[in-house]
Amino acid sequence: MNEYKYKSIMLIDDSDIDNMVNKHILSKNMVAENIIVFTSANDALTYFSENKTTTDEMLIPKIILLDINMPIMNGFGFLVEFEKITADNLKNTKVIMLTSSVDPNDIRRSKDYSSVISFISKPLSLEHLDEI
Amino acid sequence: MQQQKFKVLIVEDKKADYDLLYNELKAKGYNAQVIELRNEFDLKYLSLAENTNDVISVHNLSGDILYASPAIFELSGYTPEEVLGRKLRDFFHIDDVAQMRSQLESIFENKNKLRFEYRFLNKNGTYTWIETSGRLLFDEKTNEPKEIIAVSRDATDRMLNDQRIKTSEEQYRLIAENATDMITRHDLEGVYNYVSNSSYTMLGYNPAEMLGKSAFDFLHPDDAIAIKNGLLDFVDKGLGIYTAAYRYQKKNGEYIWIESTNKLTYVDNTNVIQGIISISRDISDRKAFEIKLEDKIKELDTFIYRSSHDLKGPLSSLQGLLNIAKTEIVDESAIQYFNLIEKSVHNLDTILMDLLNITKITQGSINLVDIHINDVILKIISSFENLPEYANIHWELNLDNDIQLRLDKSLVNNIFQNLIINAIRYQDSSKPKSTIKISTFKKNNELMVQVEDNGQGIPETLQRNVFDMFFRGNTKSSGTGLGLYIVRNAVEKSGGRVILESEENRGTIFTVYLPLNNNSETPIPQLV
Repeated sequence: MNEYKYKSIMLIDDSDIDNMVNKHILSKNMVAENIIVFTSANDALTYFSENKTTTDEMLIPKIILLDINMPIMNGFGFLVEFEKITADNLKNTKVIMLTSSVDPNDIRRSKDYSSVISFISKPLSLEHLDEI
Repeated sequence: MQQQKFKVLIVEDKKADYDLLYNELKAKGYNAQVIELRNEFDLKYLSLAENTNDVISVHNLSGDILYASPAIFELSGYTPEEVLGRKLRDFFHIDDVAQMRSQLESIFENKNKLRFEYRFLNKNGTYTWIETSGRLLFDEKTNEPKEIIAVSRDATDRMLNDQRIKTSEEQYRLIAENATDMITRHDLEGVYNYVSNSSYTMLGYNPAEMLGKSAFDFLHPDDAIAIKNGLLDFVDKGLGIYTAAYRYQKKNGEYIWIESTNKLTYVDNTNVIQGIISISRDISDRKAFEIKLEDKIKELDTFIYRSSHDLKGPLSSLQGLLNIAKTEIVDESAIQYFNLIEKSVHNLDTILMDLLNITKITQGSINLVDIHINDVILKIISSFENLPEYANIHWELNLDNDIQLRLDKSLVNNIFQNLIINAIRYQDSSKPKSTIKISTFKKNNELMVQVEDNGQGIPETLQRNVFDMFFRGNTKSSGTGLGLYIVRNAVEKSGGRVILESEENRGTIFTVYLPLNNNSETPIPQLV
């Protein structure tokens, strides 16, 4: 059996359908063993603060796939808060924007955050998996 | 007969001697003129009268002409002899008789001077305007008025001129005072030296309240500097007309929008600038409408942008679902349905992307970068490799090697993506070979790109509409009707132009011209 590329990946997206599709693609193509899903950016932040000290790679993702347009706290709001977290276990965690937005301003803005390594337009497809 | 040409003047104070001489001359056929000389009318004056251009005449109190100087011939065509002894009123125009009578009566009341203008009947039957001033001569002994001495001259020119000035002055005043537009005159500092009455209805000020003040003092502080500079520039260049719109404070403190057309005035017959004449009107309603319109356009653009974006979300969910479904479904007919759904989703996606592109092109800022046009074109062509129609195309590329330009990359991409996809899509399958020729070359500081195909062509009747929004010239097409609209807008925003040549069933050539040296950040839009 092939090995999973990552122990865990996190999806932050308010669309349940997108989460279902993405989860399906990621697990089927052996990208991650554990896929942690949050439909709100706030819940994801709470999760990190609750797991500050854990070193379990199954619980702390190496990659976060982050949507931009979400109610209450959008993707950029999350990035601001996320980059404030100083916990050691998140030092190597990178963010990939996964959004239906094609607004060049959004793409440009994403580059301002050091944790962001890539920008993918939805839907997530097989071609994108190499980037992850 | 010969003798009649001479005029004999008898200067003689003794009545008996005078009569004797007069009768003798008369008997010999001389035409003698009777002039009695006294202190105030001596020989010296007489010679003056005989030689002046004005007509000097002497009348008795009942208006008989006793003497007329030779200049009367110039004036009326009569010789002095012909008018001698005739009544002055015989020469009056019927319309002037009443006026003349009252004038003559008033001379007795004023005891001396009179001045009047009247029409004098010429020998040839026409009338001449005459200006006459006269005064009474008094009898030395009785001190009673005895005769009238008059000086007359042709007043035709003056009368006509006066009439003309009067009419045009009246006309100008009528226009200036009754126009709803405000007419003003300024010196070069903007100080009012004439303000028409409409200032009151327009601004609440009486003209007198504005005279002597500078127009700039009334301007909205946000507009004053720009308008002042604009006007100074206009005066410096000293040409044409300067039109400006600005906010102006009314007497009640309120600001209204005014549009003024300003023109320079010059000292008569010179090129020395004297001042500025302005015609101003209240354009508040129009301005309010324009602002409302701008807001609406912005709102509409935002609406298109937002709704396209918001539709993109669920659409990409659908695409994601389809991606999974395709990998898992095995049922033949289900696969067919999913393929059809996928096609529709793809069309929808194309429309949304086009709409987003339009808002980006019309609203977006321009980001100038160095572009190698050949790379752009080659990249676009290869991006279409997966289209089923691509396989049939025979490409002929004729690309000039060293063309580099500085433009917005997404605009340039939009132009050629749309032109090339159209050439691919509207190929003519009845032809043995579908060819698309693309050439790039420099021409007079412009880049010229030609995309030429031997496809279906565009009927002449449709050619003028193909660049319109949502125009679809082909019933078989699956396009959004936005492609060439995007092309036109992207070309214009890049400061270029696009020209279409096409013949139905023969093919189409799109020629795009783009500026090679683009130094300005805001390209000049040009109509196609």
